[in-house]
Amino acid sequence: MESRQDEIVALDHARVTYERQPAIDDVNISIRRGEVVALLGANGSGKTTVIRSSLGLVDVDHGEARLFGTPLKRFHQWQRVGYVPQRLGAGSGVPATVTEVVASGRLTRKKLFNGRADRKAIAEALDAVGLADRAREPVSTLSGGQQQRVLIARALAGEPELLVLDEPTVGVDAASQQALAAALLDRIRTGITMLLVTHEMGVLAPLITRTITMHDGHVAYDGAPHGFEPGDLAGRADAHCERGDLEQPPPIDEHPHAPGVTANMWGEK
Amino acid sequence: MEILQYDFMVRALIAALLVGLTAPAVGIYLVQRRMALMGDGIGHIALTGVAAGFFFNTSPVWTAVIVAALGGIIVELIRSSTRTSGDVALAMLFYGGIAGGVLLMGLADTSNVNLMSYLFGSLLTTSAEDLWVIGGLAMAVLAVTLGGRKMLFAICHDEEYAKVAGLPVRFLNLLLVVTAAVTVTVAMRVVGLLLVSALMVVPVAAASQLTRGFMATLALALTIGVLVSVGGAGGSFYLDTAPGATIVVTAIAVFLITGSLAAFAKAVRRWTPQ
Ligand SMILES: Nc1ncnc2c1ncn2[C@@H]1O[C@H](COP(=O)(O)OP(=O)(O)OP(=O)(O)O)[C@@H](O)[C@H]1O
Ligand SMILES: [Mg+2]
Repeated sequence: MESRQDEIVALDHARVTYERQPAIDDVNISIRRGEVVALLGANGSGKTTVIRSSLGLVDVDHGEARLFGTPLKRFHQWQRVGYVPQRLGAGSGVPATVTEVVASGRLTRKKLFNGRADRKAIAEALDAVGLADRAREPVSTLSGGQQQRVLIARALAGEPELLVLDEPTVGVDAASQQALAAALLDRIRTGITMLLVTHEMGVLAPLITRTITMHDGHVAYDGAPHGFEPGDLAGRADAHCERGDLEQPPPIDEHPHAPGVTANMWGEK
Repeated sequence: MEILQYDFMVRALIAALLVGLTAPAVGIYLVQRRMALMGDGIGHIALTGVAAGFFFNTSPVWTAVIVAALGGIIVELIRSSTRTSGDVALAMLFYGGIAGGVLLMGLADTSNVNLMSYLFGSLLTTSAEDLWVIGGLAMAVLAVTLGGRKMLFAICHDEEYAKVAGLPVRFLNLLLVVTAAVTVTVAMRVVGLLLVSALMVVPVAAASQLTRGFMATLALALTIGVLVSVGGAGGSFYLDTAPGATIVVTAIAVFLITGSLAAFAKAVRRWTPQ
């Protein structure tokens, strides 16, 4: 077995059953430090379930889930993990400002009296998602895409080593996606590990070092993203952003292999 | 002030003050989670606790705390372990609480006057000893709800995220319902079990008409809670009305006022040229 030293996320023969049929079955995933992994697949193929089980939000009923090499039952270093859920649950009955929501991202840092570091991290996270000027407004008055960016800022505020995002760019417009890609790129340069579910890679595409495609609860593809040579990640991302290449690729619902065709990762020629 | 010459009135005002602080401090989290009726459910089940106190010939306050806390814990466990909002469990709590209370009251052979004093409060009979109990419990409730406000805000806002942030979500949820149960028993003396929940919810609803953030809402809700409790209790002295009902009617009046203010402010903003 390879060293668990820099294994950040791992699922070993994982199975999750909600009701009768397993939502995912015999899933093996191992993500190492510094990887930026896109999790693809059709609606209902099990992407969210992979993420929820690797974070312990749902228990695997067979196999094992580990974070930073530690089985979830014994894992306590949650300050190393940042999470952006697919959507916020039941809306809040009491107003909350953008800053207040982002501030809960600092709760992972156990130190209670660390006001200055907290304020700095919150301000930086808001800057990264381009919402610094809305900091004091109630979240409920923001648009759907802006609310999504608040959730991303909340995860960034905890300064995690692993960032897990479930469809972070849904409803986020092209300009903000680009700001977001730039912010994530900054974090990637510092060595952050990322696992993100997405239907449309958009401007995030150049950041991706590996894709995993789910099909019907199983891993159907796991490997290099097509159309990109692994290599100078940062350079590629910058070039891509400068080109302003913002076309939205069609969602990938199928196996991304297309033998004999020079296509990019979305199957476009 | 004439009102302060009566010892029983001074005790009543102090009790009202404590309840005006604690009820919204817990209520804000229930409202945030859209479980405003939780306070009501706990209030109803507390009636069974009160009756149990009569039945076993012990202090009804402590049996009410215990039974209400158990009821709250059961609803919370049902809410968190199933995918329902727990409202069927809450409904059971309503029916079972009242029915169980009336049943036990009958078996214990207490008078209806006694029952009424718990259903609608009996602020004016607050003894010095009662005041110590209420004061101690109120301090405990405030320590939890104000001291833990950031964590409680996080779990009520987004429970899944709070779990990944490493917060002890299950413990905090149970702590919250137990705190709510304690608050209900503290407040039953003042406004009665049937109106307890009003004091948890209405000041929060009134405050959130005017505020933009959670901590601001918390501060304003406590202020409104104290003003309507003390004001309502004092007013009932002069008007010769039931204190509990007067407090709740005052709270609703404040809600209507803040609601109109918010609507007015919005209209002004709309008509002001940019
Ligand atoms: N809480 C749940 N209870 C019961 N079944 C569920 C639950 N969550 C997901 N499922 C089922 O598990 C399967 C996988 O769902 P999952 O949410 O992981 O898909 P997904 O790939 O994230 O889809 P989407 O693209 O729509 O987000 C689906 O068949 C779904 O019906
Ligand atoms: Mg999903």
